[in-house]
Amino acid sequence: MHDEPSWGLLIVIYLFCGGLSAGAMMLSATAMLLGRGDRYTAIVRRGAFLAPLPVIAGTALLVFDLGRPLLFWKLFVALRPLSPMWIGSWLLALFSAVTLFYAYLQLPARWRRWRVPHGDAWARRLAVAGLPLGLAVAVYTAVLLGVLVARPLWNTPALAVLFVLSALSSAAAALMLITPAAEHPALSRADIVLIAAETLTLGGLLFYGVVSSSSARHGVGVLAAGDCALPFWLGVVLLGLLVPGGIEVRAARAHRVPRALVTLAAWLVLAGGFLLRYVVVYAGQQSVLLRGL
Amino acid sequence: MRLGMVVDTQRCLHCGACLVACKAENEVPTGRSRNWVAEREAGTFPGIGVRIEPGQCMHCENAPCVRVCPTGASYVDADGVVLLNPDDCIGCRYCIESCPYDARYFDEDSGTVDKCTFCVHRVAHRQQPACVLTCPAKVRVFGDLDDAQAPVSRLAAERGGAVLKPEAATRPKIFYLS
Ligand code: SF4
Ligand code: SF4
Repeated sequence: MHDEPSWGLLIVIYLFCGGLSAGAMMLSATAMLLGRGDRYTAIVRRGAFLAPLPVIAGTALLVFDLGRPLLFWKLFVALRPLSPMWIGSWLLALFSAVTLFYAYLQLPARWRRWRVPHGDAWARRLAVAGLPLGLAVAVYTAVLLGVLVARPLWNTPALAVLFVLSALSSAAAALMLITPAAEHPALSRADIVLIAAETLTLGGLLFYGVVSSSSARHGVGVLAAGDCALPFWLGVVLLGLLVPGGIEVRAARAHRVPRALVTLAAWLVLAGGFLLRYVVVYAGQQSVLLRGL
Repeated sequence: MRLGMVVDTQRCLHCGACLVACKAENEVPTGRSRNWVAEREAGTFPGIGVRIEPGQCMHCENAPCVRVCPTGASYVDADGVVLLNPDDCIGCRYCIESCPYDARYFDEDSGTVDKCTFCVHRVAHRQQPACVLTCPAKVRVFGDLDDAQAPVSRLAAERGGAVLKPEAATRPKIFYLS
């Protein structure tokens, strides 16, 4: 038996970082594959530079959080194809390698010590591979939690949808902070759709909980009415989704919205994405499978 | 062999001897426990009462803790006992979160997870697990579920062995007599 939550802040940061990287890779790859000519070069480039950083930092934190960090290599010598954490470890290793190589190919030629023949063709190939790989990483951050029948708040496929949308939205917001204003409209249009979809999914997740089993009802109850209620409603829903969504819609409509406000919206989306992982990880560990349906 | 247990909750005195015996036998760290005696609401209105319900790792046949373990440290031995090899445990605590019965704990000192072993080190010498042996009311009966003549199997057959949280689909090997 145990009292304290097994997983704390480091796992929250890890899940957020995994999602942010996955989102950055997916956006950069999409921009490269869709954009003709020089249309989205900043999104492609900065997205590529952003992609490997959070995931590598997050993985380091995860290893540090283990009871025995020096034994982390045991993850890679076992064969545990049914363990989401085992699958995830390999996935993250592969994803980190692909994003690092992809980022390297985006460096200015004079910074590249090793010459890669057909660099542009390789970049496109990596973008094609990185798109499903990024999706898999984002999905994995939710499946890790979602397979646990013992934790009803997590035990729904809707969590994967929510985390994927939130990962993309966080990445769009992060890119808005590091790309020139010319490419913001594209990011902002994408982000408006993502925020709307994320809000709907979150509503669906809560509704599903309320109307299905008593365990599921108790699970979403811990999230929406327990210790995490304030950070959830105020932080995730209001300040993380509705307010930045509203700012971005205004910015898309009226062309003159102060730049500071757009920057604020981007920071709010990032903070909201982080807080979403926080409340889901903490509230989820307080949710237990009830006796009887 | 398929080791399992039946628990006769009606006999339980709530004396806590099984908790002390387990702690001493297995040197369980302070603040942690491998077994427990819970008080649960039981029955339906107007006959609502409290049922004293001892428990521990259910040694599930369909054990989520074994399935999610990324290193294979958690495993099922030849007698169906769910065990943990501390040499392979990296302390990720995934198994703790996967258990519907909250049967596992993290040991800060070793950095690994631990849990009830059905006292396999005693069973190897044909001795009963500590909690079974110590109980003054003989609440727990332990044995081979594959042997239809064993007291554990007879009791489960005669008095209907219900498992806890069947909706978790873990197929526990601890049965609660009605
Ligand atoms: S009771 Fe928990 S720890 Fe024991 S086998 Fe079942 S899931 Fe694993
Ligand atoms: S804490 Fe140890 S036994 Fe539990 S899942 Fe992780 S490696 Fe396996």
